[in-house]
Order: sequence, then C-alpha cells, then structure tokens
Amino acid sequence: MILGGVQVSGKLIRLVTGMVCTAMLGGMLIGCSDSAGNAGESAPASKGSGGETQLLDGGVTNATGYPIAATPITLNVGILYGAHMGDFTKYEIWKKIEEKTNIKINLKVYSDVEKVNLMFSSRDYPDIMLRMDPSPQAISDAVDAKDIVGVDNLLQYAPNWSKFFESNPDLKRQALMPDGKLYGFPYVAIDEYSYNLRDQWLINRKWLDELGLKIPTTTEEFKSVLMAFKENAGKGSIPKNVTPYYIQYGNNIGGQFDLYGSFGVYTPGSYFIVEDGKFKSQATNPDLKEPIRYLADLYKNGLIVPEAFTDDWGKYTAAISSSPPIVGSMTSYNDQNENYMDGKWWYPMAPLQSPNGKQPLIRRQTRSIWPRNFVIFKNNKYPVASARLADMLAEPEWSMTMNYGKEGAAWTQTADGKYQLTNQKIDAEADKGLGNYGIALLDENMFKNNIVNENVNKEGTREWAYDHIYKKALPAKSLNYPPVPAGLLNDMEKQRLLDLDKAINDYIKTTVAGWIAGKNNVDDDWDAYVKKLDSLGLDEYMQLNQKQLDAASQLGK
Amino acid sequence: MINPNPAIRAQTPKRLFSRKWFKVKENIGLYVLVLPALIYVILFEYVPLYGVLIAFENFKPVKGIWGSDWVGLYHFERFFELDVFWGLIQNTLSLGLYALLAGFPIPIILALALNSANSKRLKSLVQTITYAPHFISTVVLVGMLNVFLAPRLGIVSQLLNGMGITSGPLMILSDPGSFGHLYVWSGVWQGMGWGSIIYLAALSGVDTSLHEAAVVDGANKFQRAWYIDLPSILPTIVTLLILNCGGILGIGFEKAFLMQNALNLGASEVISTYVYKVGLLQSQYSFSAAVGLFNSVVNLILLLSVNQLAKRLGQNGIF
Repeated sequence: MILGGVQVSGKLIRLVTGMVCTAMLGGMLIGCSDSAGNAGESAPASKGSGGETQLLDGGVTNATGYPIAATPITLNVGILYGAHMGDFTKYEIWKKIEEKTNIKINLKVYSDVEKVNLMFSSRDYPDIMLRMDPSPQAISDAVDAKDIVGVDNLLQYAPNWSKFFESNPDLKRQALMPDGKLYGFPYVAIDEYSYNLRDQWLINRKWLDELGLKIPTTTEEFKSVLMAFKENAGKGSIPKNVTPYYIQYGNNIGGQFDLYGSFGVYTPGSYFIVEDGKFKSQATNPDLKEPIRYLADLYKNGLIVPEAFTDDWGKYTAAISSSPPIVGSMTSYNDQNENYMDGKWWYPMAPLQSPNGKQPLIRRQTRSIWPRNFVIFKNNKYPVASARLADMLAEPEWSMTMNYGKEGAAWTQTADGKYQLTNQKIDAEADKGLGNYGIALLDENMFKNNIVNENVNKEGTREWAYDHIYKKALPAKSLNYPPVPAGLLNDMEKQRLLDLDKAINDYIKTTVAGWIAGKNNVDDDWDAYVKKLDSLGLDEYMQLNQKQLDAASQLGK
Repeated sequence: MINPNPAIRAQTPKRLFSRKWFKVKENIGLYVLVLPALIYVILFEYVPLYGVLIAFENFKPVKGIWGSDWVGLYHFERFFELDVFWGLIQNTLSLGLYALLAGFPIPIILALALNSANSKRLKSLVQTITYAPHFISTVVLVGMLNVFLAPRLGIVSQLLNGMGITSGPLMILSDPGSFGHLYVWSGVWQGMGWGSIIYLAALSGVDTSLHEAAVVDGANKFQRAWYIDLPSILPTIVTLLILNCGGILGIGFEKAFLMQNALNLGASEVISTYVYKVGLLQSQYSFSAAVGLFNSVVNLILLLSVNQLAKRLGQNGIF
C-alpha cells in the first residue's frame, strides 16, 4: 500500500507488515473480549426479591404508591430531535416527573436517525428510549439479542397499560413483535379527527372572494379558479409571484396523492394499497393515467410550478405557512395560521368531482398506535420503576400534559372534570407537550367522553371540516398498509424487499414526475412503464409484501 | 558470482544487518520523528481493516464481527444484480471522469497564470478570491445553487428572462442532463484556488536562471510557461493525477445527495447516495461494506493502472 508516497525499503515493509499483523491480532483479541463481556451482561436484569419490604429493583422501587423510587434515582432517556419540537431539555415535564416520582430524567437528544442506528449497532443504549425512529432492522436485531426488556412481565406493575392491552386486542396486535411479545409501551392517541384524515385540501378563500369566484367542486372548476389566480397575479392581495397550486411532489404530506383521489384512485402516500388483507398495486392501475394527464395539464399552464419537484420539506412548510399567503391551493394536515374564520384566508375544500364520475376520495390514515415509544433496555437497573413511570404517564392528566402540554396553557380542567383544549399555539418551550415523541394513553373513550375540543363547532377548522366535508369522502374501509413489526421475513427476504422497494418506488416517482412535467407523455409511455415495473420485479415485491401481511395477521393468535 | 571464501559468505547477512542497525542508530532522531505518523497509520488505517469482514457476512451488531453468519459473496452478488447497478456505475463513473477532466487542468492553468503575473498585488488578490470558496461548506454551496438557479424567482432565471434569452422558468435544477455540469462546475469554482496552491509551491522551486536565459533568448511569457514552468512541475502533476484517478468512483456523497430531486434522480443517484439510503438508513451494514469494498477495489485498480501508464510514458509513478 502507499505510505504517503514515501519510498520504503523491503525491510521496513516487512517490519510494518509484522506490526500490522500484531495489531490485527490485537484487534481480534479486543473483539473477542468485547463480545465475551457483552455475553456476560445479557443475563436477565435482576428485579430484586421484593417480599416483605415491597422494595423492588434491588431495594429501590415501591411496588405501588408514590414516589415510585424510595431513594432518588436517575434514568438516561434517549429521544430523537424534532425540528418543530424545539429544545426538549427545556420542557418542564421532566422536572414535574422528578418531583412526583423521585426519578431524575437525564435526557439525551439524538440529532438524527443515523446517530440512533449507530447507537443500536454499538449497543450503547440509554436506559429508556422515547421516540427514536430506529430502522426496523435495528429494533428486531435488538429484540433478538434480548437487549430490549420485554414488558409482558412488567405489566403487573402497570395496571393502566395492562387494562388498555386487554380491552384493545386489535391495537395490541400492532405492538407485538414476531415472537408474540410486547417490547415497549405505546403512544396512544386514537382521535378520529386526527388519524382518520391525512391532509385537508385548502383553498385561498380571500382570493376567491376578491375575484368573485366560488369554491370549486369539480376538476374543471378547480383549473379555471387556478387560472384566475394566475391571471390576476399582482392584483389585490394576490402577489406577483403567486403559486396557484402548491404540491410537494411525491411527498406523503402535501403531495399530489389527494388529486389522484379526486379521480377515484386511492393512493395512501405510496402507490400500494391493502384491501381486505390483500396487497394491491395502484401503480399499474390504468385509471391513474387520467389524474396524471390532468396534473400535466395544470403544469403546462403554469398552475403547478417547477419548484414542486425541487423544494424540500423546509421550503414546503415555508410556502404553505407564508403570511400573507403566496399560494392559491394546497394540502396540509394542520389548519394554517390564517384560517378563514380567524384571518379570513384558508378554507377547507372537498375533493373534486372528476369527469369520470367516480366518487372522489380523500386520504385517511390508519387507526394505529406508536407501539414502541417507551422502550426499556436491558442495561436499565430499574425496570420496575421504569414500567411504573410509563404507567403513571398513562394517567389521564399526565397523558394530557405529555401529549398537549402544560395545564393552563394547552388545556384546562372543567368543573365537571373534563379536559378542555385551548387550541392555542404554545410558544414557550417549558409549556410544550411531547406529542408523538413521548407516550400517552388517550384512547377513543377519552376523546369521546373526556376531552372537550371546541374546534368541532368552529367553521373552517380541521375538526369541523372533518365532520362537514371530509367524512363522506373517506374510503369505506382503510386501504392503508397496516403497521407490522420488522422480523416477519427472514434476512434474505428483508434485504430483497428493501432493494425492490427502492428500485420500484424510485422508478415510479421519477417516471410520473417526467409525465407531469411534460417531458414524456403518459399515454405513449404507459405500456413501456408497466413492462419496466415487471422487469424490476413488481411480482416478487407484491409477494413479499403479501407474505409479510399474512404473517402479521397471524400474530397474537 | 559465489564468494570463494565460505567464512566471509556466512558472515555477510549478519554484518549487513548490523550495518543497517548502525545506520538506524545513527539516525535515531529521524525514526523517532516518523514514529507517531507510523503509529497513527497502523492504528487508524490498518487495524480497522479487519472490519471489511462484515462485507462477507450478514452482520448483526449483537453477534459481532466474529459471530455473524458468513454469507460469502452474497452482498456483492446482490449489488451486481440490482437493476439500478449499471445506472449507478454509469452515473458515478461519468461524474467522476467529468470532474477529473474539468477539475484537474484548471488549477494548473490558474497556477501558471498567477506565476507569470507581474503585479504582486493582483496576484495575491486573485489568489485570495479564488481560495475563498474553498471554505464554503457543501451544504451552503448547494443552498446557493438552489437560490440562484431557482426556476422562477432565482436571479439567473430573472436575468435570462429579463434579457429575453429565455422565457419561462429555468429548469436547470431538475434537468437530469444539467446535473453533471452543475455538479462539476460548481466544484471547479469551489476548488480551483485551493487546488492551485500545490502547483504554486512547485513553481516556486523552478530554477530562475532558466527563466533568465529564456528572457535573453527572447522567449515570451507564454513560451516560458510552456517550455520551462510546465515541464518543471510535470512530476507534481503526474503524481496528483495518479492520486486523483484513484478517487474517480469515490464521488462525494454530500453534494450529490443534496442536489437530488425527483426529476434528476436518473442522473444524480450515485453509488454513495444509494448506499446511504439502502445501507445506512436501513441498518444494512454488510451491504454497505460490500459496496464500499467494491468501490475501493475498483479505485485501487484504476490507481495502479494509471501509475503503470505513467511509468510507461517515462514519468515517475508514485511507487
């Protein structure tokens, strides 16, 4: 090899080789001793004998009552950074937890998923992980290695969760790993207004009013409204650089998928659906040609702008939340700041009726939990205290605080003991709630009977729009891919599925982009496109997905 | 020829060794000086080499490098059989070659031109201006490209439209055909000043008496650069060319990844970005290692062949 271009004599090379060999041998020894050490540690964590003293976790944890820890303990808790979540360490909730439980939370924020995966591969685990989004492979490897503590045995200390899993077998099944066991406590927020609708389709009502136009109901009307926005750029409150219809192409959120739905082609953010347990492709559905033609027409007329293909997530959020707005129509999960009733701008619009006469559809999300948002690792010396902590956070008031934020800022308690949401944006980091970065137990009953959300009666809000506009446009049953654990397929199958997934979805994404941008024509290329998908291994991809679905449906049975 | 005296013959290797050892002792200071670098290279470049083993197994962090299942060449076959394999190779290779062809001569030309400049102030001004972009991070550079070349509101699009050269949005960012040019020439802009430093250093070693003699003979600036400067720095150029050829497949991940979008993916997906998406984000470490190893082997072959070629052409190789 090259040693910085230095001329080295034969002797020196031999010397170096000798040293390299020694060093490699050293590496081997280090490797061996390392794995030996780990093997020693993987013995089950001692839980303490309990007995008369009632102190568990080696004489620290009370089995019931507060504080959870008889003497102060510290737990290292990992969480993934979220750009919109601010600085987690400044949240007040950690202090509140410590006051009540004697458990000091030592928070470690991981800046990105790569760091998380690296943490898993070096097995340098925290005591507990909240939401960290590791790759499914990393989770299933860690479960296989028994690095993650199964919680089935801990449920006796967690009555809230134990009751939840018993009364919701369908949701429990989403949380099971391939061995049929639970490996974490979930984030549960089964709010129909939240999960049952993906994006709202918003239109700029102020511009409509200024131009004397009505909210469009058909694809034709939509086009002419967008044309009017474009032609009147620079007049009234329509800016010169108006974006008539903003999509972030190919993205689940804010992408073009809801427009496919207007033509009756349901695509849940990818081109594959699950109907009655069967994996089906919409990518090769010829009905897809019609919405693509329509999008190409919008693009040709400058109603979709080229930025649709180049903007990233940051630019999308900037564009849709711009004040004053620069966008005529867009899709967004949240009510944008300047809602129609407050700021008189945005108004939710029903999916459009297309010329083909099919029932227009809007996308929904799966009724699901986040199965492992509170995972206990085997190096955690206080598994019982941790489980009891998870259970405390499942109490209604703690769950409200965890999910929404501080009482008084995010919600208030009413005289009859219900929780009323303030629906206000919380700016102070101390008052913020963790949302789906933490855990909470807010089930359907909680939302139906105990949480008061006045947005339901407030025209123009997401909740109102769901009841009045979108509910009837949802597909009759969920067509989305249900949550499945990793590890249902063997290693080779998993790897094959990954390769196929990347090849097939990249190809679809690029090809459809070319059609919309007018580089190619969908009608000319369709047959070749379908053929190419076949040669990329679409059949095998479908079979592997079906196999995974079938295995998932057998879990817990 | 065999030494007729057996006694002397037997002593030779020993004596040779002691003579060498004497030399080492004599220059012990130099050896001590090189020792830290040697230890560094061994510790950080050679010791971790055993990690390439994971390219041949289904590596599970839990089982460790020595405990994971051995799968031989499975991950290599997996990579070669990918439908996108040839596309990846083509994109990576063409981008690497283009970057080399465009990016290699320009710093040399810049260095020669700067060396021939009369005004010292002009020279240092140009040097400073051409160095500066080197210190811009890739993320910022790509951000600048995105802002300047934005389809509708970018300054370039506005200028071209204003002057009537084009009409409508500028599609350069999403055009697969333009990706290579953008990638390479922004790299040239960023790297040429920095790259010219080493040539300027080499040029400072050129014998001034050669130039004086050439001036007496009536050679002009161009002729002096061509017949004196260029041949003098040729060994440096060849060495750097060989080293650069070793990096053709090693197209940087960061910039290609940041410049990707749905429309240009056909041209912008290179080996390193693919490995990132499938390998690292999905915890497929064995696959990543296999592709990385493949990459290194190809680069090594390229490096050795260019080195050999250079020797055949009468230049000094690097080994």
